[in-house]
Amino acid sequence: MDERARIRAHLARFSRDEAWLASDDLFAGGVLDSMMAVELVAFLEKAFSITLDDADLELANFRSVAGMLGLVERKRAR
Amino acid sequence: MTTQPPDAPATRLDLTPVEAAHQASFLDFVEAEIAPYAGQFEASASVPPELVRGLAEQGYLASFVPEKAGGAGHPMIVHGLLQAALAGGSASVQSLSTVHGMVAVAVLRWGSGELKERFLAPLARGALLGAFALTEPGAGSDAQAIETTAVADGDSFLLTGQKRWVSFGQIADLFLVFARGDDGPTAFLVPWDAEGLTITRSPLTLGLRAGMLADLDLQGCRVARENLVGRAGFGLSHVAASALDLGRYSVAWASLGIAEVAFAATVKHASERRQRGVALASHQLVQRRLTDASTLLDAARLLCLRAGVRREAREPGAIADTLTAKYFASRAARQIADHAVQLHGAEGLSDEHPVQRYFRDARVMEIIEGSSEVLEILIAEHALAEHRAARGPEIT
Repeated sequence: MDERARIRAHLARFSRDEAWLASDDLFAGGVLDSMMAVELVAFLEKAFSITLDDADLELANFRSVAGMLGLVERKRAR
Repeated sequence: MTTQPPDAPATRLDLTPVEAAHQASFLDFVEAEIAPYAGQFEASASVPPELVRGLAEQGYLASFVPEKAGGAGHPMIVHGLLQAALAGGSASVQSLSTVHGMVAVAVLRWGSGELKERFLAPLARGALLGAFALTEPGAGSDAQAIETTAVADGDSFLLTGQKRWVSFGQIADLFLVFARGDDGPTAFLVPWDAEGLTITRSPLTLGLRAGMLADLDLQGCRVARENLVGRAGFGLSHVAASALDLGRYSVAWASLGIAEVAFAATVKHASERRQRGVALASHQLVQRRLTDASTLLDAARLLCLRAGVRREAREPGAIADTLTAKYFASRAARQIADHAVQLHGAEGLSDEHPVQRYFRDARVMEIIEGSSEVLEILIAEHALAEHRAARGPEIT
C-alpha cells in the first residue's frame, strides 16, 4: 500500500465518504474531533517513522491527504 | 497454529522481572511514607511539603520524562505501576502525579525548544510543580465551551477568565492554562505569581480531599508570548488532548491501585471476621461479592497492561486502549470499593478505616480526566471506526 493509500485507509476509520476523504478541509463538518486529531498524529508518526513537534502544528499539514503527504515528505527530508 | 504478523504489538499477561522490581520498590516507598498517613492528609486537606519533596527526590513526579531531559525515563508500564502504588497509599497524593505529569507531557510533546529548555528538567525533577487549568464554571466535559480569553498585547497575551477545580493549584508553581484567542483555543504556561492571577481554595470534594484544589481568577493576566505551548489554535486539539491522554492513563492505573488495596482489605476482613460461627468468607453471598471483585480486578489489570504495552510500542490504537482502561478500571474500583465497604459493615463506614476513603476516591476517578459518559461516547466512536476500518479494502 502506498503512502497516500495508507493515509486514506486510516482516515476511512472516521468516514468512508469519498467527498470527505478527497476534501481540502477534513476538519470542516466536525468529522474529526480532538481525540482523532491526536490519533492522527500518532498514526503519522508510527506509519512513517517520523516525529512531529510544535513547528509542525500548522492546519495545512493535517487538513487534507495532500497536506499530510507533504508533511511526511518534509519530515523525512530533514 | 497462527503466527503474529511481524508488526503486531507484543501482548502479555504479566510484568517483566524489571517491572516487578520497580513495583516492589514503589510499594516499599508507599508503605513507609504514604499509606500510614493518608488519613492525616485528608484531615488536613493537604499533602505535606516534605512528602512532595520526597516524591521529587525519588523521581516519582513526571517519571516518564526521558533521562536526557532530566527525568527518570520510566517506560509507560513502569509509570503505570507507580501510579497504582501511589493511589493504593493515597489517591490524593497520586493525583499530584497525574496533573503534574499532564503539564510535563504537554511541554515534552508540544513545547518549543526554548520552553523545554526552561521548564522540562525542573518539572521532571519536581523543582517546579505543574497544574492543569482547563475546567471553567461553564465548561467541564465540553472543553470547547471555554470562555477564558487570550488577547495579544505586544510580546504578551492578556488572559481573562475563571478556572475551577485545579488539582494542587494551591501549591503549583506553573499552570497550563487554556484560553480562546483570535486563532482559537490556545495553551499557555502561567507562573503562579503572574500579574493579574489570583488563586483561591476550591471547596472540598467527596474524594481526593487532600488534592489541594484551587480556583484561578485571571484578570488581564499577562503571559509572555514565548510561554505559548504548541501553536495558537491547537490548544485543545493537540496540547490538551495529549495531556488528557496521559492523564487518563494515569487515572486508569490509579483506579487499579485503589481496586487492589480495596480487594486486599476485603479478602483479609472476610477471612478473619467470623459470623454465625464461621469466617465471613464462608458465606456464599459474600463469595459472590468476592468473585465479582476478583474478576473486575483481573480485567482492570489486563486492560491497564494492554494500554501500557501498546503505548510503549507507540501504537495509535493505544489512545483508544487508554480510554477503555480508564473507563473500566475506574468503574471497577468503585464497584470493588463498594463491596469492601459493604462487607466491612459499620467498620467500613468509619473514618478510622481506609475502605470508606477508597470508595470516595474511586468515585472521583469516574469523573476526572473524562467522565464515564464522555468516555462512552469516545469508545463507541472508536468501535465504529474499527468497523469502518474492517471494510478498508473498498477504499482506493
